[in-house]
Amino acid sequence: MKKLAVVFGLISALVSSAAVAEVIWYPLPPEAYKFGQKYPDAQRLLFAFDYGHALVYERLLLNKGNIQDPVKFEQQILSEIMAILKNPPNVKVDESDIAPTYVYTFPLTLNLFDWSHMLHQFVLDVLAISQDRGKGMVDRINELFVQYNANKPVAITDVCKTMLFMDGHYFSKEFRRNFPSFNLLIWSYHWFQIKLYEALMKPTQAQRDQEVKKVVAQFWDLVSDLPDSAEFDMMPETAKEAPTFAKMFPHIAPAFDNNHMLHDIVSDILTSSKVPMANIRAEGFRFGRMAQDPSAFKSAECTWH
Amino acid sequence: MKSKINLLFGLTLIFSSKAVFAHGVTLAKASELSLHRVERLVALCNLGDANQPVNIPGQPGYDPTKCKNDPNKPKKGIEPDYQNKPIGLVIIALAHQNEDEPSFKTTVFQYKAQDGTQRSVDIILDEEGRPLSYQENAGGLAYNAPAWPDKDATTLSENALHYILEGAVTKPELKPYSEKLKSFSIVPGKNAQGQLVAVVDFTADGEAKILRVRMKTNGDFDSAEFVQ
Repeated sequence: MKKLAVVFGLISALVSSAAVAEVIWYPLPPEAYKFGQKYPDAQRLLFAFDYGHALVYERLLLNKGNIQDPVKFEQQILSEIMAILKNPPNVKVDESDIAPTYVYTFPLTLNLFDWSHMLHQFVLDVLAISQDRGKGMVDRINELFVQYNANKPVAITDVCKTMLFMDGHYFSKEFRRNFPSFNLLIWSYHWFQIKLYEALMKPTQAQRDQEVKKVVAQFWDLVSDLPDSAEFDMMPETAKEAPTFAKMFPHIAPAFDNNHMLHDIVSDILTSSKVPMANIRAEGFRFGRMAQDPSAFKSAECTWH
Repeated sequence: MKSKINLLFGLTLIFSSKAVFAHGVTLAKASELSLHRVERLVALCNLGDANQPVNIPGQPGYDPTKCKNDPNKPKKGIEPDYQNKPIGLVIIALAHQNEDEPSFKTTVFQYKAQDGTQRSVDIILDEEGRPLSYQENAGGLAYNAPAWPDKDATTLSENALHYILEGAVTKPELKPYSEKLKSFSIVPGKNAQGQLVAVVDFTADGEAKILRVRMKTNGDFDSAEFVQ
C-alpha cells in the first residue's frame, strides 16, 4: 500500500511538472486583465505591441537576405505598424496567426516571451486595482512572481545580466544599425511597459490615472517621427526608468530587462548576415537558454543576488 | 598667488567630484554612455546636402561607410568615421549644482589627418549620463586608421569599458579607473598568442599606471594588465 502511494506520488509529481512546462497560467489570477478595464487605451497599445513585434519578426524572417532597400522595407512595415497602433486590437492576438514562420522558428523564445508577458500583464493588473501601495499589493505581486519562477522551463532568469548579453555577440547591433526606426519603435514599446509600472507606483488613484495618461501621451511623442523622435541611445532599463518599482520589486525588474534584451537578440539574429538561415532556429534556442541561465553574463552590479 | 590658485583649483576639484559622485554615474560609465551617443548620432547621420550625390541605402552606389545624404531631409548626426576610426576619448567632470546640468564633457577623437589636424566631437552629459548636447570640432579626414576586421572600434572600446564597469564591483584595483577615468586610447596590437587585438589603454586621475585591456577583434575580452 505504501509502495503504491509512493508510485502515485511520483506520477503526480511528474505530471504536474510536465503540466507547468506549458505557457498556461492556470488558474488565471482573479486580477487578470483588470488593468485594461481601468486603462483601456494603454491596454490596447500593449496588445498592439505584441502584434507589432510578431509582424516585424515575420517580415524579417521571410525577407532575410533579400532586403535590397532597407529604408523602403522599414518605412513600409512601419506604416503598417503605425496603423495598428492607431487602431489597436481589443484582445491579445495569437502570434501564430500573424507570424507562423516566426512561431515555428523561435518556439523556445516565443514561450519565454509569452510567459514573461503574462507576468508583465498580471503585475499591471494588480497595480491597477490595488487600493494602496502597501504590503497587500507587494505580497500579491511577489506571489505572482513565485508562480512565474516556478515554471522553470519557460521562465527567464531574474538574475541581472550585463549589457553584453544583448550586445556582445557576433551578430550584435545589426538590427539597430540597419533599421534604426524599427529598433527605436521596439525600445519605445519597452519604455512604455516599464513606465507604466512607475506610473502605477504613485500613492493616490488620481495621481496614478494622471501618470498613466501622461505615459500614453509621451509614447505617442516618442513614435511621432522615428528615428528622430525617440531619444534612446540604449535599451531603456527598468531600474532607470522605473526606479520606485525596481526598488520595491528587485527581482522582477531584471527579469523584465532580460526579456527585453532577448527581444533585441532575436532582432539581431534575424537581421545579421552573419547568421545564415539554416542556423537561426538553433541560435534561437541557444540564446533563449542563455536568457534562462542565471550564470550567463551575470552582472556583478546586481547586489541583491 | 600661485598657492591661492592651487587651493582654489583643489577646492574646485573637490567640489566637482563631490557633485559628481553624490548621485549619478562614474566617469567610466559616462564614457560608455558617450560612446552609445556616438553610435546613435552616426545612425542618424544625414548630410542633407543638395550639392552632394545621394547616398541612401537601397539606392545605386550606396556607400555604408558614409552618411546618408537625403537632400529632402535636414542635416543631422555625425559621420561614421567617429564610430569606425576613433583613436580615443578624454573625459572631464564639470562642476554643477543640479543633476540636470552639464556634469561631464567627453571628447571622442578620430585618427589625425595627414595635415596634422584632428576631428573630434564633444559630448555633454548630465549627472545621470544623459546626453545634453554635442559639438563637432573641425579637422581633416582620419588618416591611417586601422581597419578592424570584425567589430568596429567603438564597440571594442565599449566592451573594454564593460570590463572596468563590471570588474570594479569585485576588483578594488579597477575602481579608480571606473570612478576617476581620464582617458582611453585604442590601437591595434598583438596578444600573447600573436593574434590581432585591440589594445585599449585607460588612464585615471591619481593613478601612475595605465590599465591596458586587450580585446579580441570579435569584441570578446582577451587580457588585462597594469603597465607603467
